[in-house]
Amino acid sequence: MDLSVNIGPMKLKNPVLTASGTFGYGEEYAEHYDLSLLGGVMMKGISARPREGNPPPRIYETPSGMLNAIGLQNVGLKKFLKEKLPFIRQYETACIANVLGETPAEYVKLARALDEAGVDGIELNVSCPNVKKGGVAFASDMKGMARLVKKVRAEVKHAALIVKLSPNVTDIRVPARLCEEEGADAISLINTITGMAIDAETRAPVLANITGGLSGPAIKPVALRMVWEVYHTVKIPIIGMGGISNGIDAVEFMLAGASAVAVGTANFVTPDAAPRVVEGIKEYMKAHGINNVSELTGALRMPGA
Amino acid sequence: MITFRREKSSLSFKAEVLSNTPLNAEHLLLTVKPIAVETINAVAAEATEVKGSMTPAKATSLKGPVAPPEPGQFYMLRVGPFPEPLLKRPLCFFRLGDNGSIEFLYRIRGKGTRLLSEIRPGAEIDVLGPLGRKYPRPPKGKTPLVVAGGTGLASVYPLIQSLGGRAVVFYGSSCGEEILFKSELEQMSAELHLATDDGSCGLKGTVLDMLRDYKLTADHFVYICGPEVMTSSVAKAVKETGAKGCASLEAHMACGVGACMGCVVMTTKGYKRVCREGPVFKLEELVFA
Repeated sequence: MDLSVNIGPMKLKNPVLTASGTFGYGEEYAEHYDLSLLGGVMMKGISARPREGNPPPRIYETPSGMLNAIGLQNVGLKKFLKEKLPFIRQYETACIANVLGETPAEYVKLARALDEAGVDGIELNVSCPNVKKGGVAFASDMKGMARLVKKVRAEVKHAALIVKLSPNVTDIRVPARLCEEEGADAISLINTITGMAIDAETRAPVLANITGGLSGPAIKPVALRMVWEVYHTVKIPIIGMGGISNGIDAVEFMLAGASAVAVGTANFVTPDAAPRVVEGIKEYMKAHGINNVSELTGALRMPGA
Repeated sequence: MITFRREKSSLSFKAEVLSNTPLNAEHLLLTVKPIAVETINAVAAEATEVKGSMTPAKATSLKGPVAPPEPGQFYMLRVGPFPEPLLKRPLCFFRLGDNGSIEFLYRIRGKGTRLLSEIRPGAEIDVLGPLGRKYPRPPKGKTPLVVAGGTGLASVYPLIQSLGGRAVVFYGSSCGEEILFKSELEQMSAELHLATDDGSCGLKGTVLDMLRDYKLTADHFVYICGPEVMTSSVAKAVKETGAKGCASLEAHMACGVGACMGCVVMTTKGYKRVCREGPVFKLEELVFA
């Protein structure tokens, strides 16, 4: 049984990653299982300098989902290179760094440093809904996003360049097409959907940031639809995510067109959710006589076809 | 047989609910017994060996040990079938029961604890833990002084137990009905001071009122757990005396293990995770609004 997949120049031993922001830098989950069971780890987003993040309350549970407004609390590039990257390198798993700049120049600086440090993939975060600069601002500035991808592309020589898209757009195919045109190796989607929670008793917003990003099983149908739309728009590989909690969810994303998948909020629900997804995919492959996991990508049967 | 062992123990286990007994209108005592440890590493190894047959994505071993809890630590408990509610709920370790069982004292406060209160004996639930930092031992020569407000008793109860009759305990609640485990506390404490808002048990007033009348000095080491307003006012009063101590905080949590950064609290060193750097924090670290 062959579980390996290729995302641009990056080879993954299996198609299961952990989504950025749901897995820290791997250290906490390494206490629960061997991280080498994973295809890769998409690390918590990093910025040029450490970020303190948003004030609490930062999270709120919703029906089959949750809102978060962490605000990219992170250790910054320097500490990432010194402590976090060597840690994850102890495991036989791909390391994908997620980067967020406040300016295009910062994105470029981060991407260059990480590429030189030898990460396997660089995921451009142009979709975080909880920061004021960078992030989701690009969802309403397609030209700016395209220019950014072009600039970063010129600097990234070895790692796979992945752009993480926001679902908070009218037509997801537009940014996807731009990413492909500017030379991205892959697209990851979806980031969280902007949402809000209100306490009727106090008449106040629940989150200190007022709005937050919705994740979990609640957003899976939206994510599946967007993966399917993007698959029929671009030729570069897609890393699908949004509410994946088990092997069957992962298979559905692959059928819609994803070459790899990422487990996000499910890590919070069950610490070893991601390796269980790997096992679930294997079970499905056995039951359906599939030898190569990439056979599943885009293998959706359309009615009447 | 499930055993408690510190080394190579699993934090994820299935537990059988032995009892879930109401103590008063809002509080219940939950007793669970670990019955199966789940390890994905072993599962993956097995799955590669078995060919041509369906392998379970989830296998459980009845032999593995679970880690022993310490006073101040907490567990994450699944209170309903996935995905409703989505997240596990944090409950602090209350005490060990008979035959390797673990007890939790909790109050019905929201959707999660309401669902938990409806779980009947015999049910199996997923549990993660013990998690977080324990209460430190009192420094040499210091008298441990414990301040508990309402359900905050649940967290400090095993601490009082572990102090072997040395603890001076201040415990306040809304009314006499809400003062729990009074006879046990009388037995376990060097001194037990009770206060209720309506005066139906102990002093009419708050723990802070009692503390003001008590000679709190720098020779005490103070442990605090209760509602945020109580914790902050008591912490302030303690700091004024020059005494040192710690407080256990609570927060809404998603993961419970330190990954999501959702449960942070402001400290003198920036935001810290209640689940990881806490829930027990030194008083001098805490910054109250």
